[in-house]
Amino acid sequence: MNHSIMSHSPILPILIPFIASMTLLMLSGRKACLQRGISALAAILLLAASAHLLLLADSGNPLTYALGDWTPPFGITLVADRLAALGVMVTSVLAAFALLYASAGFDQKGRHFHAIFQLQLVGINGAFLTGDVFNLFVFFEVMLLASYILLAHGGGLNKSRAGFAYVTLNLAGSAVFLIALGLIYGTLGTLNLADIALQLQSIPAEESALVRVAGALLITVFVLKAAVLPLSFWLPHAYAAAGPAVAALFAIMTKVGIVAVLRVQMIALDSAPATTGLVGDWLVIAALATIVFAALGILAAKSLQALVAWLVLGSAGVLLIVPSLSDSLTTAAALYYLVQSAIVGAAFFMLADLIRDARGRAGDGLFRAEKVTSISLQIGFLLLAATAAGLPPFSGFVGKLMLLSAVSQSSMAAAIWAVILVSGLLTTVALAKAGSRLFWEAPPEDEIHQEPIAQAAVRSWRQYLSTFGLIAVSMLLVIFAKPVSDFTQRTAAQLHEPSQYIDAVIPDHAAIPRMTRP
Amino acid sequence: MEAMLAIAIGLLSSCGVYLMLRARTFPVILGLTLLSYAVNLFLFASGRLVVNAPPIISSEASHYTDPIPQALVLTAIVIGFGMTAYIVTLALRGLSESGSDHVDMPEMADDINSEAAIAHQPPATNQKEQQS
Repeated sequence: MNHSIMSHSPILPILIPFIASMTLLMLSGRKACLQRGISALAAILLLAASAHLLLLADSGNPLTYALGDWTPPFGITLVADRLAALGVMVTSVLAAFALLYASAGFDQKGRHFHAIFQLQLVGINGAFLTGDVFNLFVFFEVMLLASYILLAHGGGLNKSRAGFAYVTLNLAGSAVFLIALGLIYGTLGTLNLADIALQLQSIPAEESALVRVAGALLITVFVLKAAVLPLSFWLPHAYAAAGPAVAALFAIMTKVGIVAVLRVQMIALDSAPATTGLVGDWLVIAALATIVFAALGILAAKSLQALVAWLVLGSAGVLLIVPSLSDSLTTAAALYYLVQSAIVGAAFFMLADLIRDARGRAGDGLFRAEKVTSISLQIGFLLLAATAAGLPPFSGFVGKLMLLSAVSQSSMAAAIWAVILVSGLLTTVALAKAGSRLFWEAPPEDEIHQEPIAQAAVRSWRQYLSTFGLIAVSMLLVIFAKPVSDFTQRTAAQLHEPSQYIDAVIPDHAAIPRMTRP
Repeated sequence: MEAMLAIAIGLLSSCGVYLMLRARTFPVILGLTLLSYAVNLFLFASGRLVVNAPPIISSEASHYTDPIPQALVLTAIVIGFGMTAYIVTLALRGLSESGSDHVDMPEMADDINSEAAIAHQPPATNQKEQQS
């Protein structure tokens, strides 16, 4: 019994939210507490399953799970290596806190919130775990469709406006993704990532152009999801318009794109002569430009939630430096930064919502209005702002320090250092300005005798618990920085040795029947 | 036949991209649809064009066509259909909320819906008064 459950553990992070989602769909319209209970139960089970998977994946080779027991490369394979397990773990932690936050009342602003939220988790976890590129497309679509609905949850013109641009852009992205997949299948005859890596090795010279185009299109789609500069204009609008609990979960979605770039590049593209160097210097330049763009956006943001959205974009830029350097130490540092930036971004979105509630009519706009006097919100802002700006001793500082020391050997080191440090300075300035606007500056004299705030929204312990719980998690990332960074180093080492992944999926390369095609 | 298919895919995708760049929501959605048709045809061709051959094993068949692209296209069609339905709903909702079918959905100050829009977003309307 125990053994059989163990062997199914790679699929549990997909199955648990899926079953919860379907159950919740059937129970739509029932009492809120019933829906919240099922959703919470699923979140707790998911946490347990992800922790279990993390331990299993850390103990050695990648786990594989052949759906329907079709031997790879036929059928769809799930692969739980350390990277996938790490992604699933971060997602489940964020999901648990975001659900707690939403349960304070946001989930009742529209129908089916919990069902769609669980469906979003299916998509994200599936995208981390799958070992098949077409299946990756399907999970991306599940994730995106759920995110479209969650983005519109709660209504309002702002959300429709941001939603339409977001959906259109992602549909165009899906078309490019499918063209890339068609090219891959047309030239290599397979869609299994490990098998793609094997087939790429023996690609004839006259077909390498098509394969290179396919690889480039694939990377383009992933960096669209990760929001690198020419393709990043959608992110600030969409994330600034989303509801707080939704935005908190979205903080992991750009990371899915980055993980997909890393995985496809390390396992398939870089090890093959036909496609090596495809993710070259251009990506690091685009990533640096993204960081600068985000820093300017942070300075110009008119509301706290928009500011946090730009912060998320900036962290995506920092992470996208990594694929072009292709160095194990840098990847390890980036993975630590990925975890901490996702958690800090999510906590900051929640805090922005709490501040919006506390200020009543003025909302989270960064202009002089009602001061926020709550001590807990002030402390929360101080902690998160210092972490996001990368000030010691918080996790943002540890992450940036590791990243900066890891890239010091690279030829681009000077540029990377300059951009990251200057953008850190600009971020600090912007956050300090935002903090003083929100907490210290009194409204102009002539507006003090305005009508009193109609009614500050009711705040619930759930919102505080989830916000400060996430802040506590980011503190834990500092206290346990050593074990976490050891783990990310093992993850990066595994990622930089693609043969481990390939051998785990297809143990016997030579025995696969091959058919030549016209 | 290859040339015909290639021309069809090229024509569909260029029309799709052109329409996607329009400023009204309806042409944009039409453009997305045309683009997804082009992509579906392209996916179909990735298994090579074979005429009059079954995709599954049969005793009479002398040769077969590749079944995988057909399965992929089916998946892509279903997903594309769902997405199109959703974006149509979203565009209609934007139209009813802003009174305009422009893709940027501008706010209309003297529209009957503007009160509802303000109720949803107090900071944006408040901001202009207080920032000066």
